[in-house]
Amino acid sequence: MSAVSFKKVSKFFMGKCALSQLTMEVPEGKVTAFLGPNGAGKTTAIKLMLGLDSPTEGEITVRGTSSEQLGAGDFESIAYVSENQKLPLWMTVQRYLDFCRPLYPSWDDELEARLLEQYQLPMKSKLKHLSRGQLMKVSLLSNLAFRPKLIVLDEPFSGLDPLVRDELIGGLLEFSESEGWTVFISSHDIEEIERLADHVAIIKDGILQSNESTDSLLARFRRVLVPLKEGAEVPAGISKEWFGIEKAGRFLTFMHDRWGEGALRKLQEELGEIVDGEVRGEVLSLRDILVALSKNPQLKR
Amino acid sequence: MKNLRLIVLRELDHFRGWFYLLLGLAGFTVLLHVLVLTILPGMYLAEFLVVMKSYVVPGVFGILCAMMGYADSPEHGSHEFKTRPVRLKTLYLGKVTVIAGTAVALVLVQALMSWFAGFPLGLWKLWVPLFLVGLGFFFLAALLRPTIFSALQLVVVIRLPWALGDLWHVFLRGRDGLAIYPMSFLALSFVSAVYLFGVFLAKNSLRKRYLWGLFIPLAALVVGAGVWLLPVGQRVVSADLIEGSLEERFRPELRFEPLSNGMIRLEVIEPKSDQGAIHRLRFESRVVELVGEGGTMRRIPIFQRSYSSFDSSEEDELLMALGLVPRYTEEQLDRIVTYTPNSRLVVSGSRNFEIPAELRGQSLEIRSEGVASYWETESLGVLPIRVGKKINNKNLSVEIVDVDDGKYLISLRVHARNGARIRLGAFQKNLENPSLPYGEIKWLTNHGVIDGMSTVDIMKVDIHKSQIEESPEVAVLHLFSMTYRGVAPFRSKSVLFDGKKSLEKRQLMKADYPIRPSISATESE
Repeated sequence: MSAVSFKKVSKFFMGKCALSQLTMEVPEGKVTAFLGPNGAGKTTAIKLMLGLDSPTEGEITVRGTSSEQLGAGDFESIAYVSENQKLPLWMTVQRYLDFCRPLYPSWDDELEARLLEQYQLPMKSKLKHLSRGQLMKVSLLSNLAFRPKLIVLDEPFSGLDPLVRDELIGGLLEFSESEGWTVFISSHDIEEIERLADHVAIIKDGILQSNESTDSLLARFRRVLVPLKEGAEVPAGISKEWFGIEKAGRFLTFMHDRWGEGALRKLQEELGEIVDGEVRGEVLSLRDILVALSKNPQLKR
Repeated sequence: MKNLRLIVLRELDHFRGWFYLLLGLAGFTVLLHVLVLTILPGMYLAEFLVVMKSYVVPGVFGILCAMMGYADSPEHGSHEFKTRPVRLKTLYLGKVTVIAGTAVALVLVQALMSWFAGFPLGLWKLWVPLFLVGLGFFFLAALLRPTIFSALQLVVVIRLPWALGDLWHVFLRGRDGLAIYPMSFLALSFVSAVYLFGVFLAKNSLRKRYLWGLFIPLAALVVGAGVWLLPVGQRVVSADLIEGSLEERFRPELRFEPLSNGMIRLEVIEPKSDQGAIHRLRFESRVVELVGEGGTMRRIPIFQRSYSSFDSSEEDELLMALGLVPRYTEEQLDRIVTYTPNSRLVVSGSRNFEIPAELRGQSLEIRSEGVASYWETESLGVLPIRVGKKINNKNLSVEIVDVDDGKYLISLRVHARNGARIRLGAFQKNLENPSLPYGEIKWLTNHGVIDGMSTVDIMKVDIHKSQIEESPEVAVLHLFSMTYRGVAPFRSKSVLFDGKKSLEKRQLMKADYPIRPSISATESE
C-alpha cells in the first residue's frame, strides 16, 4: 500500500517546467529516499505533496487524501522537516514545544522526554541562539514526539556536521524500524541516506529516472572490470547496456545496469578472446549510481 | 484557540523588522524636522504631524497587511505553521487580533498627533471607516486562501491607503466629495487594467492566483459606489431652512434681462445681505424653463461650468467630459462681491442663454430650477497686520507669521479644525480706489474651500501699499469664513417676458421682490 501517490504530476513556474509527469508511489512503512541534484524538483514535489502549492497537472494523494485538501486533521499525523523551514526564532525551545504539544492529540510526553535527553537541547534558549544542528534537532523532536504516520524530510542534513548527522540518522533509523513509520526523505547528498533507505527514487530535471527498492537498484548496477590481453582492442559497436566505458592499462572498465548471470555470460560471449582472466562486477554505491544516472539519462527506467 | 497568543506573537514577529525600520525612519524624520524647524522659520510641528498622520500611519497599516500576507505566501512563507495542524480559524483570529490591535494603536497615535497639531475634531471619521474597510478586506481574503495575500501584497501597499483616503473624502463631503473620487476611480481602473494584463501574461497557477488580486480594486469600487449611494453622505439641508432664510435673512432676486443679441441674462442678486453671522444661500441654476403662448415648453439646461477663473482647472474639464459636475459649483452664479458702506454684502451672478427660435417674438413665462448651496458665514474679526497676531473661531485659526513690507505680502498660517468645507476671505481697506472706498474682498483659500482636517497651510495675501505706508499700526485685515452646510433644490417663481416689445437694456423682468423673494425652495427629493 502507498502512503503517498503521485499521478502524472506536473508543475510549471512562469512557463518553466519544474516537474514533468511525475508518477511515483511511496510505500507505506518504508524509508524512501528521494534523490537528485540541486534544482531537480525535489522540494517542489514535496511542497505539492504537502499542499503548500498546487500542481499544474495531475493529482497527489497523501494517506488517502488529495494533497490540496489536506487540513488540520491530516497534519496531526504528518511530520514535515525542511532545511528552509522558518521556525519562530523568538520562541525558546520550551515555548516552542509548549506551542506544538496541544496541536497533536497523539503527542507522547515520554517520547518527548526521551528525545530531549538524547538531543541535549538547552530548553531556556531562544531558537535564534541555537546552532543549525540544534535547530534541526528541535524541529525533528517536535515532529517525532507526536508519533506521526508519515515523516517528510526535505534536505534535513545539509550543512550539518557528521556527528549531528549520524545522531539524527540513528534516531530516524531506530524509529522507522521499531515504529514502522513511513519516511520520505529528499537529499542531494546521498551518502548519509544509503544506510537509511529501503526504497530509492531518483529525479533529474523534473523527470523521474528511477523508482525502486534499494536492494534492487544496488543489485542491477555494477562497475565491470575486464582484464584484456596484451595489445587487445575493444571492438566497435559493443553492447548498449555498457556505459561510461574507459580503458586504463590492460583493464577495460564500464558500468552495467542489468547485472546478473545472464549479463555476465553475454559479456563473455561478446568480448570473446580478448579477455585475459576473470571478469568482475563490483558493487556500486548509491552515490555512484546517482552520478551514472545523471550523466547517462538514457538509463532511465 | 489555545495557541492564539503564540500565533499573535508569531504574526508580530513577521513584521518586526519592518516595524524597526519604520520606527527608525520616523525617528530620523523627527530629527530632520527639528533641524528644519531651527533653520527655517514658518515651519511648524503641526505641518509635520499632519504629513505623518496622513501618509505614514496609513502606510504602516498597509505594510502590516502586506507582511501578514507575505508570512503565509507559498513562495516565502513559513511552512512551519502551514504544515502544523493549526486551525485556519485560529490562524486568522490571530491575524485579525494583530490588525485590530495595530489599528487601535494607530488610531491612538493619530489622535495624539492630531491633538498636538490642533485638530480635536473629526478623527473618527477617518479612522472608523479605514479600520472597518481594512478589516472587511481582511475577512474577505481570509474566507478564501492564504495565498491571496502573496498576490495582493503589492496592491495593498501601494493602493489601499490611497483608496481609503479617497473614501474618506467622499465620506466627509458626501456627494460633493465624489468630484474628486472619479480621479481615483480612473486610477483604480487603470491599475485593474494593468493587473488584468499581467494576469493574462502569467501562466497556469500564477494566473489563478493573480486573479484574486482583482478583489481589492473591485472591492474598492463596490465600497465607493456604496458610499455614493448612502444618503448620510449627501448633507442635504431641508427646504424649510432655505425658505426660512429667504423669508427672514435676505431676499435674493432672480432676474431675466434681455440682451441686444437675442440672448437673455439670468441674474441672481442678493442685495444688502448681512455681513456678519448670516446664513447665505448661493443659487446655481441648472435649468431654465420657457413656456410660450401656445403652451409650448422648452427646458434649457445651463452648461455646468464654473466660470470663476481660478476654478476652471484641468480637473474640471476632465470631469465635465465625463459628465460629472465640477468640484465647486457654488461659484457658478457668484461673480461680483462688493463691500458696501453700510457693512453689507451685495452678491450677484449672471448667466446668458439663448431663446430658442420657435419661441422668439412671443410672450414667455420664464422660470428656473437649480440647487441652492447653503453656507454659514461668520466674521472672524479684525486681524492687525503684525507678526504673531492670531485670530480663532471654532473652525479656523489664522495667524500672521510674516509681513514682508517690501513686497507688501502677508503670510498667514491657517488651520482648519474640522472636516467642513470652509472658505476664508479677507477685506482690506483700500484707500486708493475711489470706486471701492471700503476695500475689496480677497479669497484667501485658493480653491475656495479648505480640505478640512488635512489642511494646515501657509497662505499669502497681498496688502495694499498705501495701507501700510499710511498707518502701519492700524493696518488690519477683516477675516471671515464661510462653512458649507449642504444643498437644497430650488425653483424660481415664473416671470413674464414680453418678447414682442423692443429690447431695452433696462427692461428688467423683476419678480415680486421685495414683497416676497422670487426664489422658493422645493422639497428635497
